[in-house]
Amino acid sequence: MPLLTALALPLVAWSVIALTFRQPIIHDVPVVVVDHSNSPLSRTLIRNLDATQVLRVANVSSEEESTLETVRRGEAILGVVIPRDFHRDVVGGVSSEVTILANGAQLLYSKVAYRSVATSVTTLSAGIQIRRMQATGMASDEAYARAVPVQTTIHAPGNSWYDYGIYLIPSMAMAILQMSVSFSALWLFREHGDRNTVLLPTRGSSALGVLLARGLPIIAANLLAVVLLFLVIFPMAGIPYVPAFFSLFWRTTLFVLVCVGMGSFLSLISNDLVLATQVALVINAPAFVFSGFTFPRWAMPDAVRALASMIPLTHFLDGLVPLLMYNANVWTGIPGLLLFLVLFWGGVVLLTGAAGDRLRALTHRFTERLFPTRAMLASVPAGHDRETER
Amino acid sequence: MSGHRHLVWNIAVREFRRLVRDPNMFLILFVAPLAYTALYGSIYLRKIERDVPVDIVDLDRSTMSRNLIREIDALEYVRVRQVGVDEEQAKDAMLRSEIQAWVLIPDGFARDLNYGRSTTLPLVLSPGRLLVLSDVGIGISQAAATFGARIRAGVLAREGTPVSQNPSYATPIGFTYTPLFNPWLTYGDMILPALMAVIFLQLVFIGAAAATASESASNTWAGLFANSGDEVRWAVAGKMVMFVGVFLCFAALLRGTVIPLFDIHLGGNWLILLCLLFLAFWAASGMGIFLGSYFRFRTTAFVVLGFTSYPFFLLSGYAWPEAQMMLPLRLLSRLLPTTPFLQGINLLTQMENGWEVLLPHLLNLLVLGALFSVLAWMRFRRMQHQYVLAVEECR
Repeated sequence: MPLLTALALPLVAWSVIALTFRQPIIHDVPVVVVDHSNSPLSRTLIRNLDATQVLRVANVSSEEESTLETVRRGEAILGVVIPRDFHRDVVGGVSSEVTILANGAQLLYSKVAYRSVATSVTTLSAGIQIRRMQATGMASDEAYARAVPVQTTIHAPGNSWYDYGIYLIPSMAMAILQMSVSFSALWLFREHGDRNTVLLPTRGSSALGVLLARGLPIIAANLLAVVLLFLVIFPMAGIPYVPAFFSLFWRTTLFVLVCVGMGSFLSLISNDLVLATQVALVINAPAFVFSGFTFPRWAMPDAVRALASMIPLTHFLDGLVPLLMYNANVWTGIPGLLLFLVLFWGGVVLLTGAAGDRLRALTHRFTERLFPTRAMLASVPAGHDRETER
Repeated sequence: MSGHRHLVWNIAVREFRRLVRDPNMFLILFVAPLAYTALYGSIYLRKIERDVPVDIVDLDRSTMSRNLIREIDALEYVRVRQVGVDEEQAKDAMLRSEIQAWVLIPDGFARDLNYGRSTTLPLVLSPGRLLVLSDVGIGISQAAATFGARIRAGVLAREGTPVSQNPSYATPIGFTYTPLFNPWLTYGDMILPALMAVIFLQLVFIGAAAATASESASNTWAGLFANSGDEVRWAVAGKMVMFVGVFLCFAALLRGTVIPLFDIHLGGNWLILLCLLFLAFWAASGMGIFLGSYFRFRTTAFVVLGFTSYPFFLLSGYAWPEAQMMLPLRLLSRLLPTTPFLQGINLLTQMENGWEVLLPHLLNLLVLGALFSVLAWMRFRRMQHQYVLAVEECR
């Protein structure tokens, strides 16, 4: 089971994620246009919208209600309404206004589509402005400078297409890695079985033997999964080659060691494997959301931010982004990971050391009080709902 | 109560008692639904990212550049952390994730504008944040464009063009932006309903699987078959009734607690919502019972199915558009209750659509519910057969 958890399960989950983001740049977002103007200028705007990579004009109609109903039903993401006097107003030197109705319930889509519509409208407007100025005898360069006095060029270093896959796949993959490594390490000092409260030898040279005999294969299997992630899954997902590969590998190795420590520590302080699994699940399931990759940490309440900093993944991802995007080997996140390494492995050493039995008895009494497993089992009639001790 | 209803009720009560007695199952089925939704909800308490730290490299240091900086700082999403003159310092700050964007105001910015020349502001955004491009990128671009339009109007006015009487001369085509749902376009309002929905569905799924696995771990299949009058269909139905019933009660509790606490918009017809919840819990519990019967221990069920959360949520098309996915994945996603449920929840509670729009999603869930019920029934029959054979061998 530990090897299955370390190797097979994350590979399946990584493959699904990689295949999901196979087309990581959003394109052909369905847009409906209500063209009340039905004029050459409105048709130019519609053509411009349809010519963008992001948008696909799904329907053009003069029926406002039925067309916008498709946005309400979620079949189109944006509705663009061109007013009746659009052409006449613009040609006559009067300003005209296009209305953009967005489906805010599909935020990612609507923001990307809105950006594209806004760019198309602004570009068309600037073109008209330039032609007006040229008509007064102004040179084209001068007219352009007057029409667009300040323009912004957006740069996203290391991800110029704003490819969502490039940063979401590695970060999500690392969230799954934390899960697989910590889950697989739950078995380091335990045999398989839900209610098996008996630990493998955890004292002196026997503990060292257990650690070497069971710990090393678990660490090796997890590192093999990491190698497969970098060499198979990342290329499959279209993640560009990371020049600082060795830096990425040693950081990930450190992260793996931290997570093995976390899993072993949770297993040692819990009464049984079920409880340890549940605690690991509670830590791992929200780890990605807490890391601030989808919703930034600076926008989270202070208490949530404090909780987020107690998860190793948060620190690991803080250093991963500069490495993947800028190929910069910064020390961000490393102190946090080193602290976790000391805490978890220090805890493991303490719990398997001379005072280990007493410490474990203390923690078990505490968890037993919270989750009265043995008392509960004793109250259940034998042979029926009694959990088999294996 | 007729015979089979009595058997179903017996199994449901037996299941409920088993799970209440088991502290681990109690946690996942009776504590986690509210605790998890509250925990996840608290992440998005502020719903929107405000005050994203941005640095400005002002090489011009003119009154005009300072005016532009003030306008950028006035944007809701942006907080100008530092105004400096060192480009490298801004690059380093972004590398260390201290800022999410930086703007360069070039030397000669004011002079170019005053002489009617065009000027370009490079805006460098963090490439690894989903929301920064849309919120900060669009915001700063628009602030710069508005600033430019004002300068242009001033220049035209100085040249004698009657811009103040005819502002349209400076902007021939404008646009207004109206979001139909989620009026503040907040990430929190978009994600919270789906998050609550997926937490519930995953808890039903993993809970049902772990509860079924515990029949193997506790060796209680005999008791289950005996309680169902040796008709496994009632055993399956009884388990499903328990999970659907308990989680419908939790959904009602959520409506009165977590949903108002986080101010989550919950529109739409309540009868459709009830149907959606019922069918989704039925399908998820069926899938959990079916898959759970293959596990010998709850630990294994927790570990293996714990890995499904991220892929299931991604495949649902809620966070990443379904249209962007490959066809086989889209088809696969239709076999998971998460996909029609999350899409249905969005169409109903956020976009307030009616039966005609929700029908395909309800039918999808109905088919999945029926499919997993049949699979669970076939699996239980096999288990029963194996059990009978084992008993005969013992004799």
